[in-house]
Formats: sequence, C-alpha cells, structure tokens
Amino acid sequence: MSTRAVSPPTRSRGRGARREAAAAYGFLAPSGIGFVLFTLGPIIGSVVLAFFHWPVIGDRSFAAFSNFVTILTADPMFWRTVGNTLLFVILYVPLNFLLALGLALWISPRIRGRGIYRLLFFLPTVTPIVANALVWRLLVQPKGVFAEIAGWFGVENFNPLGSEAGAMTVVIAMSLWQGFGYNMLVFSAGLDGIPEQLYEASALDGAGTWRRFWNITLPMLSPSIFFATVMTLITAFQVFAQPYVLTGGGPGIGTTTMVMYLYQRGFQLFDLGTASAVASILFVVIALITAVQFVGQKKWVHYE
Amino acid sequence: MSMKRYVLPCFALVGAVGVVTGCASDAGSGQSDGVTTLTFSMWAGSDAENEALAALVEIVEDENPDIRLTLETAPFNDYWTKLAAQASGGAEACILGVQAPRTRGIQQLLLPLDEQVLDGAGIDMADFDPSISEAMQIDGVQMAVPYDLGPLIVFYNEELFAEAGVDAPSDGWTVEDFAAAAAALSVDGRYGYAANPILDSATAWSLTLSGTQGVTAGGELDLTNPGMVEAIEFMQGMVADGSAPELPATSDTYNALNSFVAGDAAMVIDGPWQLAYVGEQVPFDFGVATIPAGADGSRTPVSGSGYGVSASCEYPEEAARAVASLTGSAAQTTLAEMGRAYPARIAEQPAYFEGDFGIAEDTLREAGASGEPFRSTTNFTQVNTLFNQYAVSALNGDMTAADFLETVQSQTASGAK
Repeated sequence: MSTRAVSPPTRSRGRGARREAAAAYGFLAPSGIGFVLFTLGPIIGSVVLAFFHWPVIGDRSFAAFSNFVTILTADPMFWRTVGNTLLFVILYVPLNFLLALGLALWISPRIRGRGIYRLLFFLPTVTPIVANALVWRLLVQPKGVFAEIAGWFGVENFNPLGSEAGAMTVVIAMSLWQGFGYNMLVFSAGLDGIPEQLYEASALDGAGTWRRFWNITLPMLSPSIFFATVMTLITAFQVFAQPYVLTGGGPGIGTTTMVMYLYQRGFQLFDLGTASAVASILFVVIALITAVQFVGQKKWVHYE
Repeated sequence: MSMKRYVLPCFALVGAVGVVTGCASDAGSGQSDGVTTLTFSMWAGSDAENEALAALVEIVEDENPDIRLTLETAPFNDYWTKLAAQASGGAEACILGVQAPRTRGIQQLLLPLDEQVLDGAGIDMADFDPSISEAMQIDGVQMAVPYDLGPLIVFYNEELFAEAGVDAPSDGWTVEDFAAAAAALSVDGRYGYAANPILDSATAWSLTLSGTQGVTAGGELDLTNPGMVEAIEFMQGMVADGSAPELPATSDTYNALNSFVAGDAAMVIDGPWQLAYVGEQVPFDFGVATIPAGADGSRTPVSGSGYGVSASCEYPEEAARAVASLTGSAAQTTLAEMGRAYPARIAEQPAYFEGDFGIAEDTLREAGASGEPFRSTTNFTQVNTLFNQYAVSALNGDMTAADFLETVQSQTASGAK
C-alpha cells in the first residue's frame, strides 16, 4: 500500500470542471448532510453546552469552566466512573486481541469449513447488542444456565451480577464475546494478504514457527493491528450498552462507565451542561490516545 | 483552490439544519374554527394501556366539543427521557402525565393549579383522596390532579401459605408475623419474601417500623435517619436469614414481582397497579394484605399519578378543562371498570372493586386510610437510581445499612446542584 500522494492530471478549468464539481457535491451531499446534521452538529452543540449551565428544565446561563471544575473536583462519582472505564479498557482490549488474533491464526491455514467458522465467530458482532446483553443477563442470573453449571462444581448462590467484581467480569466477558469477531475478521483478512513466499523462504532459511510468527506474521499484520487497536480502544472507552442492560451500572456504581454516567447526568438528572462536560473530557481523552497511537505507529507499523 | 467553492455548500447545509430543527420545534397544539387542539403526552407500555388512554381521549372530546386531543405516548421510563428532550427544545405537550414522586423534579414545567385555575375548570380537590392530592402539591399548591392512588400492599401466594401450614396474612398483622411467615415459607428452594431494592419499598418498612421516610416534609433527602437504617437492616436480615433471595442485576427492575409470579417467593410488596398484571399471570390463588404493623400500627407510603398542564401551554384554560375531564367522574369510572387504576376520586373507588379486585377492597381501604404521601426530592430520579444500584450491594450483605445510606445521601447531595 503506498501512501505517496499522486498529483492529479492538470485540466482546463472550464465548464466541464465546474460540472464535475457539482456532480461531486451531489454525490457527497447525502452523507455530507447526514454527517453535518447528526454527527458534526451534535458534537459542536455538546462542546458548546459544556460551557453553560443547561438544565433541561429551567434557566440557562453561561458557566465558563465551572461545569468542568465541578466534574473534576467536586463530583463524588466522576473519578469512580473514570476508574471503571479504564479497568474495562485495560482488561477488554488485550483480551480481545488475544482472542481475535488466536482464532484468526487458527482458521487461517486452509482448514475445512473456514467460511463457516468465520461466520460463526462474526455472528455475535452483527446481532443487536441489547438483545445479546439481555440473553446474557438471563444466562447469569440466579437459577440461570450458568448458575446450574456452577452448581455442578459445588458453587452455591451463583449470582455474579449481585457483586461489583462479578458484575464487571460479566460485562467484560460479554463484551469480548460480542466484540472479538470484528477484529478476528480484520486479522483474518490481513493474514490472507501475507505472501506465501515469505514463509517458504524463511522456512528454507531454517526459521521455526515462533520465529516466523514474530518476524513475518506480526510485522506484515501490523497495519491491521494498528487499525484494530485504534478502533477497539475508541469503542472500549465508549462502552455503554453492556453495562446499561446487564447491570444498570450497579451494584453500587461498580459498572457505571463514563458514557453511562454522562447519560445519567443528562437524561436522569436533566443536567445537560455537566453531562456535556463529561462527554467533552471523554472526547479529549480519546482524541489524545488516538493521536499518540498515530504518532507511535511510525515505530512499529510496516506498510510493506 | 478558492474558499468560495466551499462557502455556498456550507450555507446550504446550515440552512438545511435550520429547516430541520425549525420543523422539529413546531408543536402540535393549535386553534381553528373555535376548536382547540391540544397535545397530550402520557406513558403507556401495553395495548391495554393504549386502549384505556384512547377511551379517556374520547371522554374528554365528548365532554368538551371545542377540544381535540393529540395523544403521544412512550413507555414509562422513556416517557421521562422524552419529556426532558422535548422540554429542552421547548416542545413539551400541553397536558402531561405526572407521577407523584416526580412532581418536584418537573415542577418548573408545570403550571401551578391554584384556586382560580381549578375553579375555572370545575375541579374540586375535595373530591379526591387527600393522601394522593397532597403528594402532588408543592408548598400547598396543586401541581397536578391525580387519577389513581397506590398505597403499597403485600401480595401473597395463598397456596404456598396453605402448603406450609402458615396462617394467611390478615389486615392488622404485625412485622413479627411477617418475619415468622417468611421464615416458615422459605423451604424447598423457595423464599418467603422477595425484596425490592427500591426507595418506596424501603420507605414502606421505615414508615411501619418507625414512622419515618427517607425524605423530610420539606423535600430534603434524609436517608441516614435511624428509621431508614432500621428498615434497611430489617431487609438485610431477611436476605441473610435466607427468608429472601439475594438480589440479582440492578437493571432487573421487576425481579421481585417476577419471583412472586413464578411462585419462587411467597410474598412481595408492590402497588395495586400490579393487581391486573398479577391476576393475569399467576396460575395460583393470591391475596393481598396491608403492610404489617410495627410498634405504632401499619403505615404505608401512598403514591400515584395524575395530569398537569405544562407552563408553556398556549391554551391553559382549555388544557385545565381537559384535565378536569381526564380526572372526572366518567373517566375515573371507565378506568376503574377496566381495572387500570384504583381511582383517586373517592366517589368512584367502589367501581374498582366490582370487577376482579374485590379481594383487595378491605386492604386498599385500610391502606388508604393509614397511608401517608410518599415524599420525594427534586432530584428524585437520581436518588432512585443510585438507591437501587447500591441497595443491591447492601441487601446482598456487601455494605452495612449505614454505609449504604450515607453513600447514596452524599453522592446525590453533592452530585446534584
């Protein structure tokens, strides 16, 4: 893949060019309008709201930085939700990669029924997350299927969602089950793109399995890994539906993540100002982490 | 590359944004040919509820030929989110469904129904059960007119009581009777009682055990008072003794009721609004009783719902008349006969017991008489949410009652404004 820019052929800037430009705008319009209306507009609106006292009901006024000060210094819950989000990210992202890469490697050789495996592993990703979470809740509740299985091993009163550590474990497990399929597909496609000759040549040179994985597979897969890291980290920081449906953020606030918290502040406490402040902080955190990844990629991502 | 090429399309997009948002804030109330059309927003989560609302709309339009209602509904939890979203855009409906404990939270959205407004619409508050009317007042001013009344009561499984050889609860039974029955009924993997980790259930216990609520009469949160601690410790004790099951996920809001319906728990505390559902669902005979009496007799928190007029409504006089019809005699009789609501209007209450709910007659009368308005705070939703989340930890024994109440008290006090 080449990233070098190709200079466009020079054209006479006449009626033809203008017509082409009009056509280009025409094609851009549907997604452009959607983007401005439903993505860019709300983002800007949310950042603006963060600088106002903006109760849903009542008087609104300019607040400068006071929403941020409140959230960062006086709010008893905010830092807990940051901690919960980080805990989720730190456990979920590496485990997701291990699972996705491991399974991608396993179905990579020409094993029989490879398409079926891919489809099966990808299924949880394309089923609605709320439905998945509800089914998981049924599975892990007392008297559910998992409780039955735990009973065989002598575990009484199996009730993971009733304790903080248990609830977070279930949220992570369910997210892994739901999320690894997408990365597995990315890795699987990346693996297919690695030329067979590289492996043959290294085998002739006497490289073992591990060596080939470390010196060929990983470097050749690094663009896929980079892409997957960026996307997975972003979605992990934005985790919402799993705790919302599975645990309701509880017990206590053990599984209340940042996005859940901003939802609660906005739509249960009706305080859009501080909710937007939380959203803006999260936005900055995600943007910074993504920027760091883009800077860091030069050191480890190989585009052929 | 000139900037000009981009300026025009940008303006076009901004214009489109304006048009769309402009359309969105165009609410549905209006007047033409002497007929006023009012928007009416209410929660409804089932076909039965939608039917009941359609019947109400018909009654309003029959009684007021100059008024037409445009009904919009949402399921109960979404209703509040939708109301918040609409209010932030100034597009809330003219007539709003109001749940008593949330009255304070949305008071700024509501037109205060003072004497003049009530008289103008022909509403006499003396017709309504005082315990629920008071729950919809703020500083003595009526904010909404109630249509139903819900004292908390105990639902019990008659068959499980008979099997275990335990006397069925009778009105006037005591907390000791309740605890003894719950212990005796906890056999064969079943439980005597399924606890609901929510503030109104806890308030039922604190009221009956010590006469206190978690909120002061002035609307201040007061969770850490000794009465609430005693109530939570009582509920913790039931779980610890094995008389009640551990609590599952906090998002599972109907767990206690569903345990009862499934026959896994012999008793549950809930409101009369669940009578129709329980009656439809359970294959066994069930009964209801008052909350068991503590040292000072049985006391129960009374809640309920009603209708209010939004402060932004352009036709407050018409809207108040519509509310008068919505809570009027015909509407209340219809709801009572459909079994949708235990009427807030005293004169229409007997109609409720003519159907399948005869079993609840004595209990509801008794409970209504000993009832006390369930108090709430401005940030009731937040208190409720956090209370529910931490109560799961507390009732499962991971937190002491005092720690639990202190945590919810402090997190909601400083988190809110």
